[in-house]
Amino acid sequence: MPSLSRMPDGSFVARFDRNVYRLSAVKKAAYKYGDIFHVLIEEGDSFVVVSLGPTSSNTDPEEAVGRFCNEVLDQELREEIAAETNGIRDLLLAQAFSKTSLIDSELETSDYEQASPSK
Amino acid sequence: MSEGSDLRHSPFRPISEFLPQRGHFSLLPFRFIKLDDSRYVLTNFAGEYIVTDRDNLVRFVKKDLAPDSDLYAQLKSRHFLNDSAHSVALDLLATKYRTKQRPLSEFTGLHMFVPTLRCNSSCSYCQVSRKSSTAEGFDMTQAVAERGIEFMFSSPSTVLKLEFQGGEPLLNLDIVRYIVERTRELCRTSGRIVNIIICSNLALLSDEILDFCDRHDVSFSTSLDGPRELHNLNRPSRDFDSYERTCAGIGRIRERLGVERVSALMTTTRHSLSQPTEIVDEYLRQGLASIFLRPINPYGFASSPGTFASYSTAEWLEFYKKALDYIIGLNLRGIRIREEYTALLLRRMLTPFGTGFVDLQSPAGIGISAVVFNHDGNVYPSDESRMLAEMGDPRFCIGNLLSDSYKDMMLSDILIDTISQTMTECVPGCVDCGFQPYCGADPIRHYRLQGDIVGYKPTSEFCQRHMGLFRHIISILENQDTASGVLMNWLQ
Repeated sequence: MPSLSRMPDGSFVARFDRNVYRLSAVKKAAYKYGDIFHVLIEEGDSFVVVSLGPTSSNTDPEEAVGRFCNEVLDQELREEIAAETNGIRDLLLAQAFSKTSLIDSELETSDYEQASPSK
Repeated sequence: MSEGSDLRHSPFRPISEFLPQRGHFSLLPFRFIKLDDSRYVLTNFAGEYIVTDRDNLVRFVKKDLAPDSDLYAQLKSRHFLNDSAHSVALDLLATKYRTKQRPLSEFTGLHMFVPTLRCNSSCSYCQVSRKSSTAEGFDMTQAVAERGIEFMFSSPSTVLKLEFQGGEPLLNLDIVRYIVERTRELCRTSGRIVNIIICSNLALLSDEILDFCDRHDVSFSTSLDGPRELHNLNRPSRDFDSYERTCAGIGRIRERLGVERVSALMTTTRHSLSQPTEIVDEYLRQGLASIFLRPINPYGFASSPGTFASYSTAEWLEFYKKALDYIIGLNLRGIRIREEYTALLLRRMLTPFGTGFVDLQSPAGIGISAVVFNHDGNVYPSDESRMLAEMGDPRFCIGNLLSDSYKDMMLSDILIDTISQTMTECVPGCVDCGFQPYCGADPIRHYRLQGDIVGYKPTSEFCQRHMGLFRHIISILENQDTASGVLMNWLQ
């Protein structure tokens, strides 16, 4: 879990270990919570430090901070999926709209009857 | 095979021998989103979905999923993972994706003509800022109509849809007749298919109009907001009983043209919220087997205080859920009635086929799926952008039929710039959303409500409403009971 502190002015400061969380994951969570927190992100050597000041529409800031931390966790998982699949996603998009097979060009040009083992 | 012989290469080895080794698979692109407190929805590249809990989701991403588990089999069969050296899964996935995007290659199908902005109703939520039925200068001329028809037949779409919007189109019957007759003439010479629909309150319907619609294969769409009191409250007229005329019109069309030739939709006002079952019952009373539950749109008179802002998205969703539950219950008792927006979302979620619905496209369907020819010749890429112009903001107007060419209008900067910012595959808030494959971009609505065509999704009413709809529909489907059976039937 990230370390979390409550400040005297009612805001919260969450520190996310950079070995565990990517900056991009924190940013995406901050976007999603921008309606209930004023968010300030600072990047340190070991931690990403996030200041969360509740907006007037935030009725339960403590509960919302917990949800924010879980959202960062989900966003980190999404970043992990994206890191592994972005290449294949680009290939799929290219394949979907290409007139030739980009995935297996040999299949595209080979002769069906020659390729068939029964012939 | 003799006893004790080497089984290592035998086809009769135990099934576990054929399973891939734990962790020996690669992830295929997918998104996820919370369904409720304990479950997540995972959607793959082509929009197929799986529901599971967070532990399993993490196990899957970390490659710690048992190859003989049910979830592994589901993820593999629905192309969330690939454990084979073959490229077949990728080929299939690309083909499914291409099939979903097919409406793009069809280009513009829906062409809306506004024969007049005059109207004989005084709806509280009128989104087009109608003019009185005797006002002058709000009727389409034959020259504008002719150019509109030319524009429509310039579209490469194999099936065209011509829709008359208003005002009340029947107040300018001469131009409606001209457009229909000319279109049918061009259909005969060009071999094109054009479905024609008049959107009308049916108050002016006559035997002569019905004969004309019969001859030219014209259908009707009307508004029925619910029982008499509610309908007349929402859609009053100084000159006639609005409910009486609409219901009589529905009956006459069904009798003269056939039951399939008239459909109806309702607009939800704050007065509707407490009457979900009564509204559905009214549709049944009128012999209608489908209903379209529609929230109010924030344009025209509907944008004034007391209409659009008079209920929240959460309240509308509550209304929708009650109505849908009631509709499902009716179906389980053998009474057939379908909620059309749910059916449309189901098609997007459960079939490999795309839908041309303008609001649910990525990139946005404006111009690509629909165009509107206003009475004055101005061309808009959606009905909502026309409504915005009637409110004094013509920002999305792409040209005028009398002065601009098809090419100039369809390649106009405002259209291209707007569309290029609406790929939900890459806009903030949508890019990682598990419902992205089912949803779309509504730049005009976001511009109207948030002053930005992309919009800020955490406070977007469009986003909240659709998230609520997707979650509710998937929850019903996941229960796999009789209710989910009813929804599955709506796909047929």
